Amino acid sequence: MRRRSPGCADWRATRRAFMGRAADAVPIPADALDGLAAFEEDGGMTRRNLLERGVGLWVGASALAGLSTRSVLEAASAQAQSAPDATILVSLYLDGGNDGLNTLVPLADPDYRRLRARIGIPAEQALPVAGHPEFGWHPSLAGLRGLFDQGKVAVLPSVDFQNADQSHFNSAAYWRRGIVGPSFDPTGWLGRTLDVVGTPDNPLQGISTAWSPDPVLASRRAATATVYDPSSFDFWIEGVWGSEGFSRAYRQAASGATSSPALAAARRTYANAFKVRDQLVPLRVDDDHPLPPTPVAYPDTDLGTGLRNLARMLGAGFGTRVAALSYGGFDTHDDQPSEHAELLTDLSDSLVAWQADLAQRGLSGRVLTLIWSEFGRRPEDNESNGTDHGAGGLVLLVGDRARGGIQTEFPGLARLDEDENLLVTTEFRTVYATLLESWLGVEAARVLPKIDQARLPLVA
Amino acid sequence: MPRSTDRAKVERLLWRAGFGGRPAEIDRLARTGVPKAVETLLAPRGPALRGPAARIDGAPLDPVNAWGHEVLWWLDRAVRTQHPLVERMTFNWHDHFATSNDEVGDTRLMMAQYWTLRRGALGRFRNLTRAILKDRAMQRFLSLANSEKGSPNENFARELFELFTLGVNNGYTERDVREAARALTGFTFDWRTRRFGYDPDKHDDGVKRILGRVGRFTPQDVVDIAIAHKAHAPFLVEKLWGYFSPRACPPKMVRSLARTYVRANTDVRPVLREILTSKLFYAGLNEPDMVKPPFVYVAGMLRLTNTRVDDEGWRWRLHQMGQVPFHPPNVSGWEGGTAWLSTSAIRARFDAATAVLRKTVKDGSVSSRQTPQQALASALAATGRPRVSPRTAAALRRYAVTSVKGRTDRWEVEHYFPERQRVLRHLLLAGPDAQVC
Amino acid sequence: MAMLAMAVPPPQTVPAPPARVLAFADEFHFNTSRAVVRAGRVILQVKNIGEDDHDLRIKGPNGVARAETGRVRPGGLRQIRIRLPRGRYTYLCTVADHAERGMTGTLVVRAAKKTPRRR
Repeated sequence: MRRRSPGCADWRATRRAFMGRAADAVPIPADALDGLAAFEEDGGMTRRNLLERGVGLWVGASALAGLSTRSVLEAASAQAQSAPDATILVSLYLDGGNDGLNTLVPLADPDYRRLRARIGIPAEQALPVAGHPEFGWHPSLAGLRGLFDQGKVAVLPSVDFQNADQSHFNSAAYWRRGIVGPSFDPTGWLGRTLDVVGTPDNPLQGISTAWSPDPVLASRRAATATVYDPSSFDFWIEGVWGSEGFSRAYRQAASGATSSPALAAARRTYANAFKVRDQLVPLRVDDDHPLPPTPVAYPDTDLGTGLRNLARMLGAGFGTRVAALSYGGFDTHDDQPSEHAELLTDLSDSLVAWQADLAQRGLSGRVLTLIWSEFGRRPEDNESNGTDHGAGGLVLLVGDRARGGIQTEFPGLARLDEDENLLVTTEFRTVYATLLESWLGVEAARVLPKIDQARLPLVA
Repeated sequence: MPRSTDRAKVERLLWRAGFGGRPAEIDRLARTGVPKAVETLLAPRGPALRGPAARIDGAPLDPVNAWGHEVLWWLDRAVRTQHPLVERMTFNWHDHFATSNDEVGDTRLMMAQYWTLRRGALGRFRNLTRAILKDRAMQRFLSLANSEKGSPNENFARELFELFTLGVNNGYTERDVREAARALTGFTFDWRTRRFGYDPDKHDDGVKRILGRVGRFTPQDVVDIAIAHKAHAPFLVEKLWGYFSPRACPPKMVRSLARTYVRANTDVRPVLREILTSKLFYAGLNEPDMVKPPFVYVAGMLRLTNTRVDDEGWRWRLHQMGQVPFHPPNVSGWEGGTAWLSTSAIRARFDAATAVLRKTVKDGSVSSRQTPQQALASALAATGRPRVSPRTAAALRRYAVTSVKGRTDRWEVEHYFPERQRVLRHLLLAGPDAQVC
Repeated sequence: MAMLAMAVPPPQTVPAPPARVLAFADEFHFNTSRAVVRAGRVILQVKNIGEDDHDLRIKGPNGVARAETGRVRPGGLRQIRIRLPRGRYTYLCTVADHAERGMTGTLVVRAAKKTPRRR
């Protein structure tokens, strides 16, 4: 099949044309586009273009009728029909404990200079925070500041849980689980969310953009997928040319009913895994199909690449509701200034590229990105030009629909807790509960045991 | 030839009470009948291992000094074992008394624990638990070492009741945990010399009240008191049942097993005999309902294909499947059941067969005259004749025909006939049927 | 070739495998799998089972640094391959004050075993 190289100029017009017919619209599932040869001939837009850029693209049901009837298609479109405008939440974990106090700097707090005598951000270097002269952004956050100025960033200082023990393992486990305290429950809060709103047969409804499943997405029943790079996702047997033949055989072996729950699970899981493979085929990259450009280049980092990969998958309309990724290095016990600046530059530049990419795909109104870390760091810096484990982390919520501004109380540095850490003004579970109800449309109590009634103004 | 039902039963027996059986093993045990086969498993004789030991890059494993080799070391033992039930129970006890080298940070101690578990694998549970109490890896893992009079650490006491002997909230109170923690004080560990010991001066020798009994209890008394508690026998036999069958253990069966266990003075052998000869254990032979744990799946695949452990990648693959021996996720062990089968884990299970089949069928090694039936027979022989469902059989038959259709050029024959063989073997080793037993 | 090597193992043509040492790092200790190795090639692995970043620097008998793992993240593993002549080596974690807090140790390298050399 002939495919045009990406970059065609008028894709927006084409997309509008599609959008115009959205009366009884269903989203285009990836494989449906196998049948779109006709569009490619006269529409000036390839199937690949559609997938790459026409995110949130809808085709009238009549147009779909003539397309492939493969089971994959049917399942995917049924999936998407149930939630054509579904909102998407992306969890981005800053692994190691991000120093919130040097991210959103409390410039006006007299104790900041005293406590951060070694590694404090000088007021003249900090970037202004619109409407909040008492704060400044870390100088590496020019991009994030731009997003904030556009009202696309909700900023939540000092979010955590009470009486944190400053253990990475415990804190990260509680945040991921959405439950505070020791537990052997292996699920994550977004995995449990999928158990409520998801299905057993659409793994791409929950994507770990990683090489191993993100614990946040661990579910009881719902299928999820782990795909770091959709451009090379495939099954492989050494000495076997092409995966079509054995994929068919595996799919056949994985079909059919059985009275054994275990065998049923094995078949369903294989069917799901090969379905993901099939769905991602159009996103493969090779010499003939290079990676399409994005409006703003992503940094060439793990985070930038991960977000770029995720945007391509969200763009293809697989019915994704939640996704998770993480990047590390925030445990800055020593030599913090240079390391932290590098990490925040990566974060800021990646987010700018991500938001622009989502906007071009028509997705920016449907995606919110929750940026969190297991704890903040000790207000008083240490002798190694670093900071030790603290409490009260900084949470950011980024997206067109995020309610821009500073949304939770900053407790100040005059009074600290018994471990000399920042006081916690907001439980992280309150943030989760708010996002579940105001964004994902899920009753919080179904996901978060014993959640109280407190909610926050986070979604515009 | 043994009767086919006996064969099917022994095949299940060897997967659930071992790491899978080669066709000859299955035939041999099936000829003797199930009860005798179970006796053979319960009292194995002869050398523990067979076949050539694992090698990495041409050198023997170095489990203590090379990261990841301890995992391969255990895998190698499971692959080569001739005492499958002993080896499998050792692994079950590792799940029961789950201890992780990620926290212990001392592979020698972990391997010593392996031997503790293995020695007690088919013996009295009371003796095994007493040995675990003194096991150094466990003492480090659950902060028993350096738990002192005046500030006892409750970690071990809590898990002893909750996970090891009674079950969560089953017949004990928070007060029992606190009092037991007092009785468990006195074990020491010196960070500098890495010496373990017991210091009577650090033991709280006051009077404690534990599970209704009062006395100046020692650490070992705590173990004995827990095991003498009436909630213990039903808890333990039901847990044991769960290692061999995914079906709920009927209350009548629990009572019977518990009686057997108590009468045998906590010896697990008669309990295992009763489980492994029960009707329910062999239910649904045509639609197996137990998901193979990753470690069993991998060891069995290597065993049935006579493949030696020679690849450090097995550690990573087991990790991707969710089960790395010596590295359970936490003290409650692995969750198991259908939870093993995530979309990511199944990819790793698929990749396991790819790794096993590497370089086994060379291009040009298969004649163009090989019929689909012959191809299938050859694949079955190379994979230990696993049980296949009608659905998989149909997929294999179809693939055996379509994959070489019209491939007549010489280069095509040289590649595609062996390719057919690779795929047939792969589907037999890693397909949906291969995930269950 | 591979088949041939399997069929006829020629041990005398294969150099002795490197000596291996595994060091677990946590706050604030190293626990090494052995304190003594033979001179020659050594693979030294550092597995971080702690909560903070760690590294390992090994210094020769004269106090000069010989090799370094670089930062090992929590849960991470890094290794150095190095040829060590006999002598008494010390190692430490160079992160913050970890060495002062106990992350140091000694590795003794003994003379290589006398084995007949292949000509």
